[in-house]
Amino acid sequence: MNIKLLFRCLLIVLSIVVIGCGGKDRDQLIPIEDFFDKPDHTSFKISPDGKWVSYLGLEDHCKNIFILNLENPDSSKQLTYQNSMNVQYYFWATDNTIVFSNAQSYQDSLRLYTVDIHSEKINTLLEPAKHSIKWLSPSKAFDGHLLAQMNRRDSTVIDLYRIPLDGGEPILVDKNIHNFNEWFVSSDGKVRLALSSDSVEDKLWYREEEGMPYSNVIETDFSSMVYPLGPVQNSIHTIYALSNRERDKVAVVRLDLENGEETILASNDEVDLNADGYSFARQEVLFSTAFSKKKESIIHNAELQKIYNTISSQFEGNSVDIIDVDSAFHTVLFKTYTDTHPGGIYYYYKGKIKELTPMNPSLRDKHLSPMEEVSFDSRDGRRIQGYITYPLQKKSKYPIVVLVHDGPNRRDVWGFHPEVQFLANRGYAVFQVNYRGSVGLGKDFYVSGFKEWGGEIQNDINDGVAWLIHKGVADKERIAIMGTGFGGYSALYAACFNPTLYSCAISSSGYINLFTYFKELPPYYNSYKQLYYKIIGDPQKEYELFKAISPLFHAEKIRMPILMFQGGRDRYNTMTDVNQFVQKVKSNNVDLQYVWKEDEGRRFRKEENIIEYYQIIENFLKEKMK
Amino acid sequence: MAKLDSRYRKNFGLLIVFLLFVTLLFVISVFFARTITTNFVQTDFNNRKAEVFDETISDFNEFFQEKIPEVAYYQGFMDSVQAKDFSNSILRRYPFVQKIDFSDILFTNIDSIDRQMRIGNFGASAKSSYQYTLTSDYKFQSSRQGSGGDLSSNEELYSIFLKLCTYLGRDNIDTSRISNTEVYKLFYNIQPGKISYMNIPRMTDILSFRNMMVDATFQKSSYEQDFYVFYINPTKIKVKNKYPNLYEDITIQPVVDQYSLNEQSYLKTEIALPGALSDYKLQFETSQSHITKEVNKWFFPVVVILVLIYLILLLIGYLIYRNVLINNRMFQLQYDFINNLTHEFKTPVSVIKIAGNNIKSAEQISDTERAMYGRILDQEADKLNSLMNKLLSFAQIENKSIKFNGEFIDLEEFCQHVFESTRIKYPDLSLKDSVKVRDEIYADPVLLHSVFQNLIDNAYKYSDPANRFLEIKVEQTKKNFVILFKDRGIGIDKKEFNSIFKKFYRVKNQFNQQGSIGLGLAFCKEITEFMGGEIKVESELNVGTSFTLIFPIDVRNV
Repeated sequence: MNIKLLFRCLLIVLSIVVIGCGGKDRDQLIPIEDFFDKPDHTSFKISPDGKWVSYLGLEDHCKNIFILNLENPDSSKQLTYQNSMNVQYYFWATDNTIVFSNAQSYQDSLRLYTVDIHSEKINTLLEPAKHSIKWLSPSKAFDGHLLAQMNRRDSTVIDLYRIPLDGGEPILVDKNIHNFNEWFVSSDGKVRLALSSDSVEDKLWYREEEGMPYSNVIETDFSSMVYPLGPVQNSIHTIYALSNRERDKVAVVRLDLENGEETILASNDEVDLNADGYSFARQEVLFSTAFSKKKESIIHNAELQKIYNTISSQFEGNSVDIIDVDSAFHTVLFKTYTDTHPGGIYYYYKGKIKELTPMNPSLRDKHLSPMEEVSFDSRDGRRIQGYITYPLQKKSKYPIVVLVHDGPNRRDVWGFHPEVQFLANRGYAVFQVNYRGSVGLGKDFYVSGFKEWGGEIQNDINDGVAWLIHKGVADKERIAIMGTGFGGYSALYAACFNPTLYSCAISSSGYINLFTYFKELPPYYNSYKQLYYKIIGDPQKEYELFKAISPLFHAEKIRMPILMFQGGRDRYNTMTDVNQFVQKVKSNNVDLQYVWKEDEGRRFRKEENIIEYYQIIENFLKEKMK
Repeated sequence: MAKLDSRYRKNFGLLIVFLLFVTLLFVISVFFARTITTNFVQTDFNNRKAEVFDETISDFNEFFQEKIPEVAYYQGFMDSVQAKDFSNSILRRYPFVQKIDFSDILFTNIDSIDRQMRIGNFGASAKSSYQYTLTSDYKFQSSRQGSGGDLSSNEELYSIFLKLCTYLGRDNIDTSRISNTEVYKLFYNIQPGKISYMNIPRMTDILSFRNMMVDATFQKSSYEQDFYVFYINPTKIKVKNKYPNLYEDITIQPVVDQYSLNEQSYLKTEIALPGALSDYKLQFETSQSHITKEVNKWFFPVVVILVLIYLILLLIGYLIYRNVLINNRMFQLQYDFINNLTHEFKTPVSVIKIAGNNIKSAEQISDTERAMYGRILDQEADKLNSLMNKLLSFAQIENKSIKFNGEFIDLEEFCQHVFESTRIKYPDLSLKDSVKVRDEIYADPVLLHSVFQNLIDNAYKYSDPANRFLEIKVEQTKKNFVILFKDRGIGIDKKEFNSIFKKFYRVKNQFNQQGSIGLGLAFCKEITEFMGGEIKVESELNVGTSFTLIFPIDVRNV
């Protein structure tokens, strides 16, 4: 009897201790660096024969190629030994050859090399040049030649070339006479299919054989798309493609190029399917993915399904994304994660699973906040979907940071987001909205965002916030709006026109003048203007609209505290505009903090700048949302 | 050995020196204050002009720094309609802008377009140009300039185009950014009287311009640019005289104007106007009378303060002087008192001494003699005793060291005792009494008795021996006991009413040559007030005096 009582007491004491510890853990402030810690090993790829896994690793402060032998780990090795240049990207051209590109910065000249994985001998593939290159998919050698599109002949025109792997002179295959954007390889390594776009209309061109003229087989309007994934096995005129022709959501279809008929292979009622899962080696769509509530993978191949089930059973509750599969299904590269766990990259080789790298090693054992999907009705009755991430410490009302995604032709998805987790860890509930115009939610939703900059798009965001306040979740005195690019534009727009809803705004290279934004389109891309006229408006005919929705023209209305970041290389804002804007706002004694980084683009990339960026944000929010 | 003067000293010389010194100080400070204020105002005259200048050209600065760059917001998308709106707002808001030339131009390398200026393939072509003005009745007027515009006649555009081409033609230009000074040099052209401005293109546009110029095969394209020339008339700038007290007249004058012609102004200064206004200057003038007014404005409060300080010093001097006088009188009083007291003590002491000597020297003393000497000794000892008691109790009361032994006294009984003893003591005093009270008084009987005794003694002492009369009336009113002592004595002069209650003060008359130390009434007043009552006097010379004692009935709170 007595012993039982004692035991019970001990249990109570223990549970108190455990709860106490748990509480402490929940309050824990995680250092900023931990959130934005990048893994040392990146760009994992499987060799075509499935025997090797290659990756880029840091050696001598530079990215170099490493390969792992899966059968015999002892013969794993470092392939390149560079100490002044980074390997920018690489791919397996054949079972034994890797092609890689070297660069010091992204504006650097083109330097391409091949490396033999056995002899480790490095050869020049192309003499260093100033033009650009884009590899055709799949980037593998057919008869010792790689297919690529380059603006070698005329810097404004991209043509199709065959580049011999042995370093010979590239051979011109097609002169670009139809304004093609992209070519596609058939199963035999010949090019029969191409895509042209004048931004409003996409056209798919097809020819029976190389050397013959192309003929236009399919046309789509600005809201629809057809995008080839690859050839159907043993067929020349049928391909797998992503398409939303005569449908709202993008589906994976089998497309007959001769009559334009589609048969649906996979689709989702809620969202568009993503362009992954096609294996050129097997010439079939192995799986399809979609960003539904979580990321869903539908495996079409029964053999792969078995392997996928084996893997999934080991990572209960995690999302498992397949990154790469070899043609024999010996090796599968995959990534696991949840919304609260950054996860890692693993490989499966003949039944065994091994970790390659964790994604954010320092966040591994930390308590992070789950991401909840929410949806609400905008003022015109449109259903808007979004996400909210509450801080771990429960409160009746939370200060809110509205994190507006860039674009508008992007979307927020469920998953692990360091930025969101950082804000939630600092005690803010993070609200993300897939406002109209966001992609991936169907054609209609995308088009409904056209010409709604400074209009319904902004209303969607504000209605979301109003809905949170109405629900009693948001502390209406403490709501911040923040974002990059279009998100920054939304923040500045809110600073001009919604002074009562938000208490402060953070813009990172947010568009401040839409005339300038429009000007980013060079005049020789005249055709693209049509699309922009549709998305934003015509700056000449509708200049009143442009004036009305550009924050620069309304700087004198701003009264709320603003934090502005600007990258010197961002092309959508001119420094003259930004300086004018900052001056105008400051002349009203508005609390404006302005951070300018000359070498950064729209988003900050350098690690020290990223840390500084979030440090400033942390302090700003702490001060303005007391 | 110097003889130390132990008398109380007064030095009026010192006072006069003090007075003179303070007055001198006052005169000197007033003089300096005047000089400093004059200097201050003149320095102000020279220094404040920058503020007037800032204020005056603030409109121009706003126009230059905020309005002109607004053209660039449109990124070349401005057409004649927008330009009209824009120019209209500027002309109405800034009266110093006389007229505005607007040209919608095209930078292009397309051969089919008529390029009026051209370097390499890069050329400029005017789509249209307009001139905007306000008519004399403030109507907006827009006129189209020679269609298809001959750009070569447009000097301003020509010069900016040339500058731009020179910049683009350089072998190495920074392709990532364009510095602020370069922006200013390239896209602004500022001359006296006019400002030309071309909207600042984006860096990528500038690179395209360069490519158009140097690369014949460059993609055919054309960029719209907006070009403005603002004609400025500085004389229309409104002078904002922030300090009309300092500057009588501020004008905008051409720089070349020699102001030697205008000689009558007393103070004069000027500031050159900047940039497009540099043909003109801001001229400040003030006449002597105007500046004197300003000096006086500053000087007046200073003088008032100085006078105040001077008066305060004088007041302090006077107070010190008065204090010296009072101390002097006090010193005199105490000196007299000691003289009196000595005298007072001397008489009984010498009587005792004589009596003692007599007894000592007498061989035989008869019973009568013994009785006489005994009585004399006893009498004189009593005198000394009472004298000492008086001094002692007075000192005690003064120092508040005496205790109040209050009890309820039946006034009728108390008075009966007093009257009886008085009648025994002064058989020649005709005493008339009446006591009408209902309640008992709360007081210290010993102290009250001595007040009665003092007042009776006074009445007896200061009366003609032939006419010694005293009426004592004790009554009770609603709140108080009123005790009246009325005699038919020599009376007191009204002037001395205030002084009689002071210690050591004695009215000078034939009755108090001796036997008075000037403490009696002071003692009465002290005691009465000590017991919560008050004492009043009414008198007429040679008619009589009446003292009134008033004690409150309800004294429990004392």
